[in-house]
Amino acid sequence: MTSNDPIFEVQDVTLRFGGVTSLNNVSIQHERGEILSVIGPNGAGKTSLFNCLTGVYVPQEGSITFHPSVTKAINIVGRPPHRVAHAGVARTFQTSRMFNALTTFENVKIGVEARQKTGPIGAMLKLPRTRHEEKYSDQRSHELLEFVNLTHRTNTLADSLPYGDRRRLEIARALGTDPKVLLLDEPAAGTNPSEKLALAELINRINTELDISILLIEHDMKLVMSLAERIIVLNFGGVIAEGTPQQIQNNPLVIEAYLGASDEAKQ
Amino acid sequence: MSVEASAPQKRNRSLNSDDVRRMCTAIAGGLVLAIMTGPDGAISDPTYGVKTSLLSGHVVGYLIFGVIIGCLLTYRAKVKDGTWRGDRTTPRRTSMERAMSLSSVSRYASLTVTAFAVAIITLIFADFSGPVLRNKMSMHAIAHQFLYTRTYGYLILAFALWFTVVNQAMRLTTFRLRSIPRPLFVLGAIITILLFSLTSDPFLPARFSWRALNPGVANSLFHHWTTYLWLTFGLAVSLSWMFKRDSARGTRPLRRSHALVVTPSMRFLTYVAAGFVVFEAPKFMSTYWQISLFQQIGVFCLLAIGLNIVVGFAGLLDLGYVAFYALGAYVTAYFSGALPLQPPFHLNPFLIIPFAIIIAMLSGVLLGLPTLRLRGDYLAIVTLGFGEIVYVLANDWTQVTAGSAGTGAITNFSIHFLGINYAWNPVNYLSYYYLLLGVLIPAIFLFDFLNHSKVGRTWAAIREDEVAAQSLGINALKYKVMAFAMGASTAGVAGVFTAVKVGVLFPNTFVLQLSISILVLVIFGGMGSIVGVLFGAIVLQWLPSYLNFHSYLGFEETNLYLYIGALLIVMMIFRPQGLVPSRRRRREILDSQEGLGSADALGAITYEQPS
Amino acid sequence: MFNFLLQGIFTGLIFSLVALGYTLVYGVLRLINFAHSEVLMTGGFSGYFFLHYTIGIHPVPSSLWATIFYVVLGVIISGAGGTLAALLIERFAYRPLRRRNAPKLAYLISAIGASYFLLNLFGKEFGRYPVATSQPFSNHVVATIWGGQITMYDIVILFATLALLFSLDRIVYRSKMGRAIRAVASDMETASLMGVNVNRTIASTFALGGFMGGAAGFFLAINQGVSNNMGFKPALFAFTAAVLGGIGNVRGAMVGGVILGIVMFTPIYWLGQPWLEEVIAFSVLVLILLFRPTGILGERLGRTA
Repeated sequence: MTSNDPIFEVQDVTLRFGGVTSLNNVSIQHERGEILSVIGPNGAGKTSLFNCLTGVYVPQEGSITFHPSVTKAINIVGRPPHRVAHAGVARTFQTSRMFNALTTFENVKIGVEARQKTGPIGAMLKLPRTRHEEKYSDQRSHELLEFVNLTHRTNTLADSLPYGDRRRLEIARALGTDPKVLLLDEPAAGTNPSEKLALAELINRINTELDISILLIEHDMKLVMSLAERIIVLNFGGVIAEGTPQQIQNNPLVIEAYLGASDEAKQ
Repeated sequence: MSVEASAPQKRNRSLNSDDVRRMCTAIAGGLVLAIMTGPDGAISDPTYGVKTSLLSGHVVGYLIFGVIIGCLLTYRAKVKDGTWRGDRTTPRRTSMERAMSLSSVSRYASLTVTAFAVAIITLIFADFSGPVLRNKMSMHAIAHQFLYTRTYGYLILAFALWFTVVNQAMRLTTFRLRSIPRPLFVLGAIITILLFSLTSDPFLPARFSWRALNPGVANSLFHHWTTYLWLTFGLAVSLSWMFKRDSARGTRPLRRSHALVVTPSMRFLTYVAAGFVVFEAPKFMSTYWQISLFQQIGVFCLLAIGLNIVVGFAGLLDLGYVAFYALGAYVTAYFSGALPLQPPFHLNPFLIIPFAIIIAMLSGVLLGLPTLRLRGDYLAIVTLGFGEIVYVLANDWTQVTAGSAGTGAITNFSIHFLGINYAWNPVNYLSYYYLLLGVLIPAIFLFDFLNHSKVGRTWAAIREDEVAAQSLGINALKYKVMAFAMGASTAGVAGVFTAVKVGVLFPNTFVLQLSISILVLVIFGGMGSIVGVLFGAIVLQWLPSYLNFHSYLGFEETNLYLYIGALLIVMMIFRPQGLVPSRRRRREILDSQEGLGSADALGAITYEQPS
Repeated sequence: MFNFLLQGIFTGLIFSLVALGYTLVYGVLRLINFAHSEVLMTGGFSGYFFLHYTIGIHPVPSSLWATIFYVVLGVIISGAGGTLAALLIERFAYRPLRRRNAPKLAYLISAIGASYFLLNLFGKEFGRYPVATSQPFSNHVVATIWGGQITMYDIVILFATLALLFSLDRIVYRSKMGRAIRAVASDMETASLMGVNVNRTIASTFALGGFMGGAAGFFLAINQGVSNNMGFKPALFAFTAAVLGGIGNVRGAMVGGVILGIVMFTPIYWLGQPWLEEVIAFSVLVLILLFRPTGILGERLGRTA
């Protein structure tokens, strides 16, 4: 993948919290239509990177540019999260964050509706446009639930969903916003092997069928190696390696980072 | 406490220190209640109030009350942790078994108790709505109510409602609506409505007479054209229900749950019944209640459903809500030319309403925008300050607001349109009430639509998890400000009504404390649930009027906020979701107590930024 | 003009005392304690009863030692009253909710309920009209600087509040209790894992803030008399002061109080309408929230250490 059509361009991003440097001069190029995976030991700055990409954190240095289409370029730095989402960046969270008191269906519907224009007056008076949009969001939510195989849970409250289903629901909700790129933060954490398999298939389908670029943070190496087209390894806030899964597997730096990290964990 | 002896498992049934603590707390609560309701003291004899409350016979009733509450709490706790067997935990059996078995005695007992409770509440209602008696609420007076046919009307209505709604909800009895033949049911409905209209007219002689059916006689049943309307309506509804049920038969899944199964027709019937009471009952009330129905209940229902948008839907806290109410009222005074500051043009109050909405909304946005970017509790204190400022301006800025001396006379509502000329008469209290209903009822439906639309769902999302909501592209600030402004504009409309009805405005009408009493209406009924909020508003606004009316009960209006404060704490500790909670809101509160999501929108929108 | 400035400074010192209560509780619980105004009021009433039963209608004692005796004892008793009120509020309006992990909205509502409960309970028991307090010293003018008069009352306030603020600063930043408070403020869970008794620390935070609030109530009582709603306005101003200095920041509250006092009272010299001071204070609050929501000295109790 060397076509020069990036969807995300991260250049020399540095993020500091007080004295702690969370990201140090990180540069990443995410190609359109690609499944790019970011790996690295705990505390390497993966989630901080996600938060920078979605506008939650504003890095002190560097630039982040998002290209929703080939010709458009949007500067992410300094943009509030909801406007970043509007531009076409959707994400899921490390610890799944559902709207627990709402049903599965409503959860997805909120995602779909976030892009609609209905205002309070339209909603109160049930104006024609509101009805139209409501119909569309109902239909779209059903489609999405079907896409992630949650149709049988349509009316279940989100807090009573099993863990694997929550992950899928979160993905469906993010897809509802009609994104160009989907950022998945450890989607497989806490799921069992068969769920992992289904998840990998789902991510592939999102990539191929819906034509959405995917940026994936994951700890499960098997999943990453089978899914990702390209992998970026972060450690101590910096990029230490970048390449295809094979290249990464054989990179001594990466092995050292991981073994070093696990050694530390054992002590 | 009697415990069922046939508990299957042997468990420790002895009382432990927790129960002692619980009982002590309950008794202490009783004592606090005794002090709260005891005589007022004065600073010259500071111990008088407490001493008299605790050392006279006054305290006995409250002690007994405390002990009863303590027993109930202990019972509940023991059933909850499984030490004692509760009534509910027994397995479900068929109606036959239930009827045969001994344990159903308790079911019938609770059925009887509920029936008694309904009857007593109805009697109190009949009592307060009846003609003025010297010693209301004595046993004698209540018994006296049976002399009036009106009482029977209320009883019929109450039991009809109870059978259809309460029984369905609680499944206490084997007697189900389903088992009644439908034509019989229609007949029953018609007879119920007829009997109610017949018996609830207070001008009827003590006992029913056929003379009342004669349309020629004044004050008789058919005096009100609305009687016809309601009869037709009731007939149509019951018929439509009959056909609907037939057509839907077999397609509707049989749901077995404790939750009330609300079919569309049932909902419709409830609307009709509520509408009937709302439109008809005021006509039979005494002047005192007609005034209080507008001033105390109606306006506050409007205020409460407005504040519910802020507190219930959006999960914010507005402690200066009364400021927007005052703003609406003073805008009315301004455009009536009643303030020292003269307006460019005078307006009919009907035309002032849009101005009041816009001004209240604008001030809501101006106040909300800087504050809502920050943590939500800042909003609470800023609104508190705003409420105080508006009061100070109304009281002290004499060049503009006329200050504590009061404004001039405010123009009354009137219609001069297409040849219709009608002016509202200050003595005809009900005319204002019906006008208010014209705003209140649409508002109820509009806000309900709002809650069940995209906007309502978005509010729910923000309440539960603001970060996740923003990751979907939801502008949380916009929605919070929107809720705040909508609440404000509702208060503005209420302000117009109050201003016109009162005629002359005094700043004392808008003391900051009023915000708290509106807040308690929302909290008590159940934030987020419009039905709950209306319930809270009606009950809590009715009660002081009732206690005031029966002066021998020794209720002092100045102590109202003492009870309100206590009620707020007690509600937050024991039932934060309110008495008639919205299902969504209740779940949220339970979830957040288990550490899942939050149940309010008080977090900061701005994230922790790197520094 | 200088007169107004002086009035601003001395009233500002009282605001500082009250603002400490907000700031301490906020630092630990991240909640605005809406019932703090009633802590102030309870302190005021304690002071009233103390002076009423010791001095009563007797002539004002004139010696310096008598003044010191009455003021010190009065501050201690009022502070104790405020502490008691704050502890009761914590016990009944906060702790049951904390045990249940209630949403933040519930805390705010139960605090406001506690506030109204106490406000009206005092109103019911002691009447709802202001009563003048017996004076522990004669309030004569001690000195005149550039036309600004400094009275005995001002001097008492100056010394007493400075002593209180100084000792509070020592407690928070030097003592073991202060360390526990700061630990809980920066991270409640970690602190409890480290063996800090969180419940007791929170209670002691309320108690500290309550003592300061009660003492402030004593000074207000001497000056303006007591009534059941005496706490409302000073508390609102004090909250503004706390935000101005950076809520959660102990030293910020001290500075914020004095600055707010000056900003509030000095313009009255030109504007002439005393009721405008509330409008000014409120505008200050909104302006800070607009432009510098973290206040002058920045937020957070845990971090300032």
